[in-house]
Amino acid sequence: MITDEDIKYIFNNLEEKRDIEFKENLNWTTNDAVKAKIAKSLMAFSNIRNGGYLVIGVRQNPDNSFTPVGMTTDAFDSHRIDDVMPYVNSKAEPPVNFEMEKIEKDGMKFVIYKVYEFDELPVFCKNDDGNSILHKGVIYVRTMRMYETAPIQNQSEMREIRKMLVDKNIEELKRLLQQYEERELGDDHQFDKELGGL
Amino acid sequence: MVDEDVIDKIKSRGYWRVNIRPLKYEKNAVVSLSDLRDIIHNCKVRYRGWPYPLVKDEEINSGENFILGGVNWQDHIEYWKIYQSLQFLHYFAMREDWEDRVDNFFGGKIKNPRKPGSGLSIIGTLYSVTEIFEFTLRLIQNHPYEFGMKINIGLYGTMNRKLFFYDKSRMLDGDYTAKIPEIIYEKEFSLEEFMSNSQQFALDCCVHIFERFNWTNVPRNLLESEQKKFLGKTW
Repeated sequence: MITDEDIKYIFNNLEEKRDIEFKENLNWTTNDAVKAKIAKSLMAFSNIRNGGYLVIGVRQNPDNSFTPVGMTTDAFDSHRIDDVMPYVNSKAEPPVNFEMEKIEKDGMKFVIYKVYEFDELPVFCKNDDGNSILHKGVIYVRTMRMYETAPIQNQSEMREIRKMLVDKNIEELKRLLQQYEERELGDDHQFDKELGGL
Repeated sequence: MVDEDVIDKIKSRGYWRVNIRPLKYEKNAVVSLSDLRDIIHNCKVRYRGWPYPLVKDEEINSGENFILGGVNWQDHIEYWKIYQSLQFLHYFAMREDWEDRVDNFFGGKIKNPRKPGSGLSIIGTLYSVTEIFEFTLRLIQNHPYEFGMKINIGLYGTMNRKLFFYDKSRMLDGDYTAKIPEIIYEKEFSLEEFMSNSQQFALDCCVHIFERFNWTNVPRNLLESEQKKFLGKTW
């Protein structure tokens, strides 16, 4: 769920960050290139720690500042989760975990995609899109230096993904150990643990 | 207020450790700490001058998921703790070892206190075990122990300790002395069997303890008759 905190975080300073990308009035149904760009961004966010946001309805000015301008009604209405999710996940393996919310703010319409960090394995592109935007076998990330969406380009980005995988494995191991304690060692173990050695 | 430091005092001489727990662990079997206070008040038993466990309102402290209490007065040195899981833990000193702390009728100390580590009262043990089992019975009757429970009773500091009667008119036909440092009784019970036989199980526990003092052929009928008197408050 996209919360008030998320919206505050996105619109407070209105600058692109590694975990925030702004797009102007993108209409999902315009052409396949638009769909591929959105899919690429969502895949990239899922491959960075804590994921990120793709926000549509914010214009980039020539001086690289950003202005919220909102979306036209057609473009706003064109984003339907039932269309977007199947398309994105026809290109992504494993599927991207994301949600979409349409908001109205100061009389303007915005679409916000909130993307969650991958669960178990990094997301890679499993199909070309035919417009040379998506390439099969590539892992997209939000790059560290430029805050752009691109294939993994250097060892720092690869290390980051590796670290995320290690952390997830540790968490999984902890979970399995806890399960083991609870199920295999049984109730006595839980009671003993509660006594803390007393 | 009693805290864990009192356990060190208890452990400095012979002591009992009692642990009662349901067979299934459920962290919040009891929803609130105030419910736990009610439980300990409603389940304590009183067949002699003090209850088991020794509960004093002003001495009860709340923890994260438990309440604890106890006492440190004369030969009554106790520490108990009951958790929201309904696990109960109780340490208490062997009173026989703390006679040097007991005031006599005139406010002085009693003459010739028993040497710590030397003896264990047979009747005192019967009373304590009976109290533990009666307390357990009350605990399981109204609370979620439907899968049954486990009782673990340990006596520590028993090496070379001798059984005795306080009543000088009662004689033992020999010296019954433990040659092990601790005696542990542990048994799991189903709810039904415990509810119908708790007093007999208490006697089984006493026999278990006394046999480890090398007292063979413990006169169970004598224990049973003393237990009846105790429970009927006719002692």
